[in-house]
Amino acid sequence: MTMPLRAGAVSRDWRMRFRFALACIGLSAFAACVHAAAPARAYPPSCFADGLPLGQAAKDPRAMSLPLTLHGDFNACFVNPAAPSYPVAQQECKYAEVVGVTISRMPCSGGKSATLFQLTRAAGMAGNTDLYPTFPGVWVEQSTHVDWIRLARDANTSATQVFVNSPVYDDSIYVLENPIGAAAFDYNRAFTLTVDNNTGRAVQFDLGDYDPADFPTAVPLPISGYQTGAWYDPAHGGEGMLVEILDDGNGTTRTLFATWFTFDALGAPYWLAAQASFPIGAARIDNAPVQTASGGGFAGNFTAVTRAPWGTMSFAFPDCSTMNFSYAASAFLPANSPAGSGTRTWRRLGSIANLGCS
Amino acid sequence: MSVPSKYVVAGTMLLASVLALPVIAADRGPIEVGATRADFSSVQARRAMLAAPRATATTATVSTAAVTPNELTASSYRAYPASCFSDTLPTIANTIQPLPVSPSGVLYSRTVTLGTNSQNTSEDVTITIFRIACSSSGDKLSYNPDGGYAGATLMRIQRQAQYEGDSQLYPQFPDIRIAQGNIAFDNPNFTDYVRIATEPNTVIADASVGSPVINSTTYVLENYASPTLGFFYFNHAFTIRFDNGLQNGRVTIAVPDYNPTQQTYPAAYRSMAINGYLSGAWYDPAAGSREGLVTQVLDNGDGATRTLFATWYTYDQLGLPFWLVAQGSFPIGSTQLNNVQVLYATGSSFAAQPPPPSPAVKANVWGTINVSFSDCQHIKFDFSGNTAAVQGGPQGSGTRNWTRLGVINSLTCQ
Repeated sequence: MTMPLRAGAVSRDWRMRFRFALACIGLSAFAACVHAAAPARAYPPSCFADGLPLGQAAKDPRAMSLPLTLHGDFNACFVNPAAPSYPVAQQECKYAEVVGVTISRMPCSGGKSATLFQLTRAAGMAGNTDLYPTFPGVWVEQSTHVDWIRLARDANTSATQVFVNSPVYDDSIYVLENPIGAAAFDYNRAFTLTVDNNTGRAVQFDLGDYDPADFPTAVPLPISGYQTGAWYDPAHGGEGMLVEILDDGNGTTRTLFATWFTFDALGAPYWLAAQASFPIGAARIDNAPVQTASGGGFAGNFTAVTRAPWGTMSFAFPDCSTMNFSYAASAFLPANSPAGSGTRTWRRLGSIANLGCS
Repeated sequence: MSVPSKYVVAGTMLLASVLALPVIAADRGPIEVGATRADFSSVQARRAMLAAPRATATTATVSTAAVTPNELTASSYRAYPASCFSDTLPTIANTIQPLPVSPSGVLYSRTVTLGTNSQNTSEDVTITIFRIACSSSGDKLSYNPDGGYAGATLMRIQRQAQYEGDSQLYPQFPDIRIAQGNIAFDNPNFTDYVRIATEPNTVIADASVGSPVINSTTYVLENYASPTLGFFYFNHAFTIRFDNGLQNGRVTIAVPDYNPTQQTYPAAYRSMAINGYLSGAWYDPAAGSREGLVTQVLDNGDGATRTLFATWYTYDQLGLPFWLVAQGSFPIGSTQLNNVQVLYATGSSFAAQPPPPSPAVKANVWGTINVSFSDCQHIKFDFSGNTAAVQGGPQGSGTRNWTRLGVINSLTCQ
């Protein structure tokens, strides 16, 4: 449900302005709040492993879009009359444009989401840098918590933000981040987002709780570097798999490299290695070849190793902390080798520093 | 040469008064009467459009041209190793600013007069260009074509203490250009524009001309993600120019090659602080990837320590596969881990398949390992141990220097 607001009609608007004036002083002075503290994450960092997509709203059945008139650049009003750009600047000084404001959610792993904020310029105006609207003030109310928020064009930032009144030259998309130096919002829960054009007009979006069921066909977690990790069976200690997702450098495929630290039939340590390339965006890897190696020595004290096919494995990661895999050994293996077939669900051990998957 | 605003004032206004010429440091003052500020709107528009190649395209269409999606945290136009700032990236648990607040190493500093949000006032700030040492593996990389020492180049805009945080009257971000090699100032292709961000490893973020500088801020110099723009090698000499739009308002700083010595950049000569970027698979190039170490550096979530988890996939004396495992916690910032305990497990089964061959898994002490990383591509480790619990297991001691195998997606260490 959305509700357009009229100028001066809602007292909350004024309360917010006052609050902001106390906290940061001046609408164009968002930077006054910068660096006070690193804000909490607003979504799993792995959510944007493949970038910040445009057009995401089309996939969100609950996406909301409202028109809002944004004013031109007040800095243009101060251009010197002698400047060649003066005539255009005068137009921009008085300019106003009805912009489409779209709010949508993007599914992430673990039942979480990221919330995206998109500005669509009036028809035919995208890319026009002579006449353009400027960025509105955006604030959120959640329960009793009200604050201005941070919006960024790069994902996974901690201080980057777009400034109020900065030019909006093109259609552009931003991700909602938590305010700096203030309490965090949980954007997965219901909240009200107000977009204020700073000249007395605002639109308001009432978002409900995020429901993963709204995205039945979503692939929440394509296989990326974030699935790199150590995986194990909590009920069967002493065994594990170290998985790495590697870049192939070609922009189209990645490689899974997994070493399975296990035991042979005598209970002695034994390892298997799986490696397979897969297309970027895939959510599962089927029939990755698994090899054994023998004839080697310790710490490089060997000259040759015999590699032999062991069988295959298939992998899928329903969320950041779960790995589903199946394995099938071939029928002709040396005595006491790990053998058989089966399906397992293992859990992640720990969180890799600088690559937190959540 | 910078013209401090106070002296401009003195020359134009105070001469008509009976006051003596003030002998005070230039800080804030009115702009010369009748002076006009350049209109930077076209500069800002161009920079903004350049900064956001994804605005007019889907990620699919720019996958190789502008932003490499398989290296999200490492723009393909990056100016330094993505791993360079990995110990200062903020987490929920700390309040570290994204970039260092205190310039270090060799400083290149000037007083620069900036315009303010008041049309008639200027404010002097100190702008310092400095570098920090990054992993320098000798690899020839897009941003480091000669494989020399790699650093990241930072810029600090320092307001005077009495104005720090003043958000009523504040200086505005200047128009900043760089000249280097064939890239000249004010060339018709606009290749002298430089992207400037307040946190590392961004692709689009850019400090816009005229934006407020309310708190003293450190920025990192970046390249625009566009093939038609200038690409700067910030480790090489360049000249950076700050333009406040006022008459005589341009100030330049000449920055020489990044040439670290033990004294100027000790970090360039030390092993790396051990962080998540040093997760990876490591092997002996002379022996091939038939044997290797897999390391994973884990967050302990306490903001103070991390854990190294490593497995060594190797062979026993019969040439059969055998593995060792090491695990040790260490303070964040550690560059060398010593006497990390190494274990080997026995008595368990494959994939928990019934029946288990013995009652319970047993973790046996094998020995110890010392680990350090001279750069992103090389691990050095000392090992010593034996398998008392089983016959014919791997044993011995020694020192090895192994090389990284592959690049973990989203965790590009260079």
